[in-house]
Amino acid sequence: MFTTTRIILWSFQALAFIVAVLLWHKYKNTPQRGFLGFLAFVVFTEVAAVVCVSMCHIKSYWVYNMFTVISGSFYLYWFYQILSYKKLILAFGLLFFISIVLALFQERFFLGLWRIPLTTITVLVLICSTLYFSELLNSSRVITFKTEQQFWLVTGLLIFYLGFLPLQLLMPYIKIKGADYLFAIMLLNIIMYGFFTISFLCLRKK
Amino acid sequence: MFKEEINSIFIIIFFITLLVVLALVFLFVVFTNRKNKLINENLESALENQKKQHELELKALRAQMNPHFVHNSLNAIQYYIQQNDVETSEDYLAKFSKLMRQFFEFSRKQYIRVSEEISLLENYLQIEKLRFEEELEYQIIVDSELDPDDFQIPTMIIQPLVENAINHGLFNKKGTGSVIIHFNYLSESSFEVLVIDDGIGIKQAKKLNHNILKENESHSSAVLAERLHFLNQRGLWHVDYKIEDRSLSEEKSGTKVTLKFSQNINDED
Repeated sequence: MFTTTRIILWSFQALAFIVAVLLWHKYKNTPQRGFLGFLAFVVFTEVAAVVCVSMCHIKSYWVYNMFTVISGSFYLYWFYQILSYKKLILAFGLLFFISIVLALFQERFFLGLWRIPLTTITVLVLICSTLYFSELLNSSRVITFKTEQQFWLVTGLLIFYLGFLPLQLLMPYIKIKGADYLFAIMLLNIIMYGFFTISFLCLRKK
Repeated sequence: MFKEEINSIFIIIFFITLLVVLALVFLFVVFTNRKNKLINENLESALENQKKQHELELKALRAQMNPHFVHNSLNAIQYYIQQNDVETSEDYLAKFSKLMRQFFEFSRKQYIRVSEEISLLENYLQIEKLRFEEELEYQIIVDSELDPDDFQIPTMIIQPLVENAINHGLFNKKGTGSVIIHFNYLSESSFEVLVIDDGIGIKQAKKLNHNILKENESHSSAVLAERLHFLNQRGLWHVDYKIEDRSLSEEKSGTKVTLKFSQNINDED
């Protein structure tokens, strides 16, 4: 079951990347242009993690820690571009940077997942998503929200981090097993990359 | 062990699905409600604008179909019938009927060709000349650069101004009065119309006919001002309107009305 879910996740990530490549011409002049590179990086991360574990026989935590830093920075940069609260997003960027520095000193890079930056970026993305929805609700673009690429991307992020936050915060208390935790993360990832794919597909309707 | 694992996985699936479904339902309900509200507001605003436009068109038509003008014109035609001048009376009756037809026909349109506006003004002025006879002279001058069939003009704007010039500027003047209408080319999408009379001037007219002006002219001016405001607001046209007493700038008596029409071609698409 675990392997099947992992294959489904990879399929979703690859699908999102392929659709992003095919519809590049539709969003190449928008703030979402960075998502093509980001999705390529997602695929690269998964391949790197598999190579680490299967071929090099080393733990892949460092790959996912790198992913947390880069994906978090990317999301904040993207929100900086699409939201009007520029100073707030800059402050969030600073906060995220501090969390990375703290993790460097307090957590292990190669032997475990960085919890501090993960939790920080989760909260920050949730706040940014709320701000985005609030801005969208107060603009005339709400009339065509189903064909708004940003709407689907933010919904994907919101769903992922909304599900991820309780898992992240409660994990030490409910003693959830590693495999279950990974399974939940994979499930949330599948949903998020599904929304990312919809975000590119909705450009065709536009 | 395997059974326990499956159970906890199902619990996780259940909670995640519940969370996803709840979040999505909430999001879509909020967004769909807001979308519907905004669409309704836009529709209401569009309907309100349309209603306002129809009201203004009706008011403008009423201003054109001035009962005094109709009455005076028919009286003049009746005079020629009484004089047994059948040819002249028939000629003017034909002109009058054509003018009425133009009033109704053009009032249904947002804009007409400048050539159509000129035809309406010609008809109108010929009928007014019937009333004023030799005391009214008029000229319609079209810039050679301005093709009257190529340029368009919003309906029911110029004629009420010419009517004001005759009824309030020339009517009170002793001797022959003249009204000149210029159509000047400004650019590919803009032109100006000047309505110049050598009557007593707007200041004097206001003093002389204080009460009458208050009722009639202020009404037609208000309709005109409202229509121009509405045209500018809709964005298809930008119209600059200026009225001045010629005694202040040219040391001549009379009134000069300047209208600059700019058609916003992009918005029309």
